[in-house]
Amino acid sequence: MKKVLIELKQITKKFDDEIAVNNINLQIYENEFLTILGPSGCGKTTTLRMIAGFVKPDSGEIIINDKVVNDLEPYARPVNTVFQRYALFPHLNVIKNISFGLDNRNDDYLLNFFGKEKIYQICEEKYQKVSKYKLHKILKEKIKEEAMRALKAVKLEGYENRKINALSGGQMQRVALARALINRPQILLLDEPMAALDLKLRQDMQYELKDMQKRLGITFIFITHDQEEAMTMSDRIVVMNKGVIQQLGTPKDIYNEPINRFVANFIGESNIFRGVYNGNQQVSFLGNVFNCDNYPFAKNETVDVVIRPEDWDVVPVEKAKILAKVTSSIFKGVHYEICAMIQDLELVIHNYEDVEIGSTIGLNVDPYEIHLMKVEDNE
Amino acid sequence: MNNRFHKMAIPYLIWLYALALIPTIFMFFLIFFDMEGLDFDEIKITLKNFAQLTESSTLIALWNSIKYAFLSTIICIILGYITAYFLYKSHFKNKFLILTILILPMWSNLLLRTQALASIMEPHNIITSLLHLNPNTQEGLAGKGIAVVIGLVFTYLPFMILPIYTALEKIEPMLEEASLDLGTTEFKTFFRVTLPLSFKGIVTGSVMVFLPCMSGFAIPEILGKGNIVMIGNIIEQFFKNMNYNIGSLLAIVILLLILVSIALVNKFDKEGETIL
Repeated sequence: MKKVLIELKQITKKFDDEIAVNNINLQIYENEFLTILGPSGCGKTTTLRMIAGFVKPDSGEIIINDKVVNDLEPYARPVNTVFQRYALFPHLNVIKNISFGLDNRNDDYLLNFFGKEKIYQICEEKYQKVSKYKLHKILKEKIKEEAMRALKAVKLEGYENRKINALSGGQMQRVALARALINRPQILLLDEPMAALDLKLRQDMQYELKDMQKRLGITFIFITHDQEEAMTMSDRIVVMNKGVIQQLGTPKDIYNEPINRFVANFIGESNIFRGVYNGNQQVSFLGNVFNCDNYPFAKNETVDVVIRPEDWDVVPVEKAKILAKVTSSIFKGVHYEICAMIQDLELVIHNYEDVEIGSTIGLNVDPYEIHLMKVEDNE
Repeated sequence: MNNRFHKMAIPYLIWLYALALIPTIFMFFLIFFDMEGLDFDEIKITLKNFAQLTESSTLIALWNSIKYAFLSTIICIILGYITAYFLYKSHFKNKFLILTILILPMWSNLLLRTQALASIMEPHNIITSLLHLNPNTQEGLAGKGIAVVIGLVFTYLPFMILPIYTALEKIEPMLEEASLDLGTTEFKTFFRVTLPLSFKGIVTGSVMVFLPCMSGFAIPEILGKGNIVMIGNIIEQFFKNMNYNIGSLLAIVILLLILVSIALVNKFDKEGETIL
């Protein structure tokens, strides 16, 4: 059993009359990469800001390390944040930005931070005596060392005296990361840190972040609206919409077994049809009866059927259950993206071979590729 | 398009050349002459005007100017920063309205305002009569140094508030959050983040207060009752007595001081962002 580091208990937050976060319950484990995924305005940033301490919840409890921290100021939490637009200090150079968190701590804190005995030992070796002033001097040197190490860890050696506005977006992000990590937080919050980076840089950064999280053993809580980013990095994903958690699970679970129409549409492409569950591992949709896995639905209950574009099998017409007329076929590199119509319903199909536009193709789908979802009342 | 705007600047340029630049050049040449009033018949080239610079009356006046200007600037920085900071931090919907109210006194004439202030500082003033105090036992502020300082601060405080407020408004609010997030208390955050980032505003405001305080002559004359002589008063005296040569010399010296300080500000605030 993994240790729970953060627990959100029935958290609700309203801004004026707008509910930003609605009764959220969430447990976040130690050494986990958790992504909160959702469209803008879904409450993900508010959730993050409540964990960081910038926003106080209206009701509910935020528990970190078994302590309720609702009223704890941001500076007293074992949490550091990488902000969306980095929020680096423009009046300080790179190295001073990185060491900011340690520069402003008192000596007692720093002694504990670096290890009291170690510092005393260094002091004794260097000056043959221990005094407050000498200790202070050694701590300052230690901070500098630590900052240089952090700079090296984000591959920015030689940039220590640069001004912030002389850095590129990618470099700024690295500085922001180093600035947060130097404090050795238990939890690192990342608020859409890659939104301003170009695609290639973003992909590189994704691997680097994941790697860093594994190496440092810190819990990362990552916020994004980019499902691909979430898939690549996360141990678990929380999908949010309208202030409510829609689904929580591993990237695989969420992709293969979306819980409702919103999740299915938000994560990857999908074909969604209305169907009826017939019981006995059978479902009918598009005028046909298909075999499927066993689902706990009532007999004759209306369900939503999800089929991912890559799960369609293009087969000869005589063997097919469904016939569709091809309207377009676009080469996407690995596969062709085919759009086909069944009467007035459009299907998206990923296929390795090209098909002729205007022709009729046959489609089949394996039972285990059919995923059924409960129809929600509000749809 | 561009040409039209160029044409619109012509009246201003005429104004600038005819009423500022040409007189300044004229004054510059007057420094080297000795004459009665503006009588060009008995004109003599001389350097003896420069002796006035080391006269004790000039030095005292210059010292007074610098002293009072410096004192007023410091007070303006403190009061102005506090005002600007609380306005910046407040949740007023219409902060522009508050700023307008703050600069409202500037809409009335400087001399009238100063005269009104002077009459309040007399032993017999509206407050003592409203409170039925005996004016003979009261000691007025008029004619004292503090009266001049109050007058200068009262007049020039808005010039300090505005640039500081502008500088504060330009600080990204996220920076303060970042500082708190990095373990810095709110009190320390002010000194480590907010204050350094609004420093430009303080510099701009200081120059905008210091310069008119140093070169002005109306406020020390009205509130100082002639007891406090500043360099502006001396220049005014020379011009009044038709000694244009020495008057010009002192005026040019002040002008040079002003140019130097403006150059200093430009060094700090290259983009001129904090000047409204």
